[in-house]
Amino acid sequence: MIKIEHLYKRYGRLTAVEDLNLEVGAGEIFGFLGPNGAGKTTTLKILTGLLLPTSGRASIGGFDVVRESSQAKRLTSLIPDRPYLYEKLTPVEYLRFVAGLYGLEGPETEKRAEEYLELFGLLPWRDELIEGFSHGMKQKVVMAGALLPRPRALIVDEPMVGLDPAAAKLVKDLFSKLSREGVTIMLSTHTLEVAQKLCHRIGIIHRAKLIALGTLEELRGRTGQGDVDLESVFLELTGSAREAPEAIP
Amino acid sequence: MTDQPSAGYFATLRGLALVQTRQSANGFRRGGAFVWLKLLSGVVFGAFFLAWIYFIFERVLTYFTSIQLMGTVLAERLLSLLFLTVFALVFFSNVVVTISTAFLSTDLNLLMALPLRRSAVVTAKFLESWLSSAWMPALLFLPILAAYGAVFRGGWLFGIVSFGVLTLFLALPAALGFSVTTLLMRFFPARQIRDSMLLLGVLGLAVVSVVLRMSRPEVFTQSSDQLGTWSQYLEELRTPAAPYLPGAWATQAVLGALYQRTSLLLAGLGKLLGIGLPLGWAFLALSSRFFEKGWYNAQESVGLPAPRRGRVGPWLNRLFGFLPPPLRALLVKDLLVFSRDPTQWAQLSLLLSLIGVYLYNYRRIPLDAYADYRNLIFFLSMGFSGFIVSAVGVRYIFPTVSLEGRSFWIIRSSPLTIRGILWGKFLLAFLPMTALSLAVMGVSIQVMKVDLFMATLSLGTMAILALGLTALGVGLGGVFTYFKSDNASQISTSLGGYVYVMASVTFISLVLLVEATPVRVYYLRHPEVFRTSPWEAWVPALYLAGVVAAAVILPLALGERRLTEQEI
Repeated sequence: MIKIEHLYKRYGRLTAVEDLNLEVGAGEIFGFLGPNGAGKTTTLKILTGLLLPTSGRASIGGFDVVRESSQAKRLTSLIPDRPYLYEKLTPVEYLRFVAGLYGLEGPETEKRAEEYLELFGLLPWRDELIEGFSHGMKQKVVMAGALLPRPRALIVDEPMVGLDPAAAKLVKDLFSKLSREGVTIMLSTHTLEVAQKLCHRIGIIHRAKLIALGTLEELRGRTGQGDVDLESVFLELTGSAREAPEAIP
Repeated sequence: MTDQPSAGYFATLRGLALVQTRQSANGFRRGGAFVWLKLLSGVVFGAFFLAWIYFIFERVLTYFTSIQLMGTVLAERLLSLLFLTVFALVFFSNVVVTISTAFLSTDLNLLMALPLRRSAVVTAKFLESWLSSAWMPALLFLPILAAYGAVFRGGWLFGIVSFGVLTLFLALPAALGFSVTTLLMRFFPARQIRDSMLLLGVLGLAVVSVVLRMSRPEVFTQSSDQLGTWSQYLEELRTPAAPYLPGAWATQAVLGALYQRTSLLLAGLGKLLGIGLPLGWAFLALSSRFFEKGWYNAQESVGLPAPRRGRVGPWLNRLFGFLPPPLRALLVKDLLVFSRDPTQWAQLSLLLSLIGVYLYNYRRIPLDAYADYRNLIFFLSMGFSGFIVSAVGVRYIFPTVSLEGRSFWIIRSSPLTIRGILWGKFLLAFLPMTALSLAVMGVSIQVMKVDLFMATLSLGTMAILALGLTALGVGLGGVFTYFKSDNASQISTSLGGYVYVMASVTFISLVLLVEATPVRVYYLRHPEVFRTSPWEAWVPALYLAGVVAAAVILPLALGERRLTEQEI
């Protein structure tokens, strides 16, 4: 469903993504991990048309994300890490707006919008302006908007930021259900517990390069560690384990 | 840990001022050559404008001095009227500015969380509002005072006193506006008050500008037989001249320095320093007392009742049901966001009132005196109408792309193409721009009573100008995106807004230049010339088509290219 071939992204002399090759199948939940500034968000932005690659190719459902961006985007929804929304709209108006962008309208779409508002507990605030919402509530509005067009590929950057525990569990369950229905989910997260529980495969990107790819078991095998959690594997592979200093500076 | 602020009042104030200065300096450094070019052009243009004001006032005051007895009174009354107007302008302007600088500014989230002296924060915010609201009136007042000094031979004492008086005087309406806003924020919480204040403040400005124009200052330059009417008018003004307001005190002090009359100077200065200064300080102290709670209140979000809001979207969707869903979604979204932003409405009312003032000016033109030049005046007025439309364009059309702001990811990651977004925005803006252009020209036609040829030509020209100015706005808006700000005024005064104005002036001038020849031919050699030598109409028409096509296609294509490369 998602195919990335020899993808490069450079900002001047800084290389953000270097020779990335990756394939994510239909119905797969793929965890994209890495330290801050490793190139995760850049990759996700290229996939959703927010950035142009310097070279290489990425496609979604067989459509090139640059040359056939409209077709690729029709299959894709993005959940960004920061929920920037039109603050002067209400959630229901936002959902109608998103539906309109995807050419969706009519009673069926309206019904689905209401269902998503209910699912995310937003129904009591359906006619309140988004500007008064908390970060978590805005994130829920973004998620409802992303799911409304029935995407075949869901690109998610830090899904759990700002969500309360109940909403976080709901999102995890929802992603699993969507995956069973054949939706491809590529998510970047620092919450390794989420990645461990949810993802079928994991890719670790470090200093712009993909340094590890596989299931948790395969990654454990690479580090030569036994039955350890993903956090230990991640720290070992990225070499980013740090001892806390004796005295806080 | 201690609950006490870590630094004293003046140290905190100095620190906050340093941060502001550093921010501005960094802005200049990052902006590069364009910012300096903008500044330089602004200074040159501003200098010309100030020189023009000086010239007008110098002429008016010289004329006054030629009128026996009455002249000096008129000059004094004019000065008092100006101080009064500036007081009202700065007051209303400060009410509006204070909301942004002292209650909505995002830096307050940090400042209020830090252990800073509140009184210093309030003073810093007051100074910021004061500078924002008073710099323009102060700058405009300087050449006027210089003209008074030159005509009445005020000397160096007048220069020093009037500058000091002006600075002190401008602080008073600013302090009053600042404390009124703070008190209202404190005692009438919630967003509606903030929004209503914003609306009222700008409406106040609109009223002041209209009233100022209606007072017909051009009468000053007219013949002495009309002065009877003007002096009656001044007599009427004398009653509400408000001697208890700082404007009268400032007038006294300035006139005292102008005539070298120490008693008058001391009386004015005494009132300003003895009553004005303590009063201003008291306003600030009052603001300090209530600021914190007011700021907390301003953060609350209570909007319109839900049922009213819920019905608007579906109604708009039905109204524009004939449009394809993506375009309709974009239009309905833009309309809803616009309608809920009081700054947009407030500034629109100000802009419309200024357009009203412009059209009122038309009515004041003594047409009979210039009967032979009526068509020429009208032809030139098309240019002015075009500039008015471009003023609306820079404020409302140019920022449309940038106003997507950080939410731009939503449409950028949707199936809508950049071209679709830009053309969608162009089509949505074109209708109101054309309506406005035709309305302005329609009123002009009605007032100037021009012939059918000129009326048709002017309406056609305005439609063409609306087309080009809209495309320039949307296209250049895409080239010079300013996603950081959600403030349309800030976007329109950015470098891109400046480029838009320059491009608009060029476009309007080119259109009029191309039209000038056939119009001249028409009026000098009558219409039949177009039948005998049709090329005299066709060649300019082709040029015109080329200019318009370039103004429409080029900016939209540039905008598309720039937005495609834009990294979000």
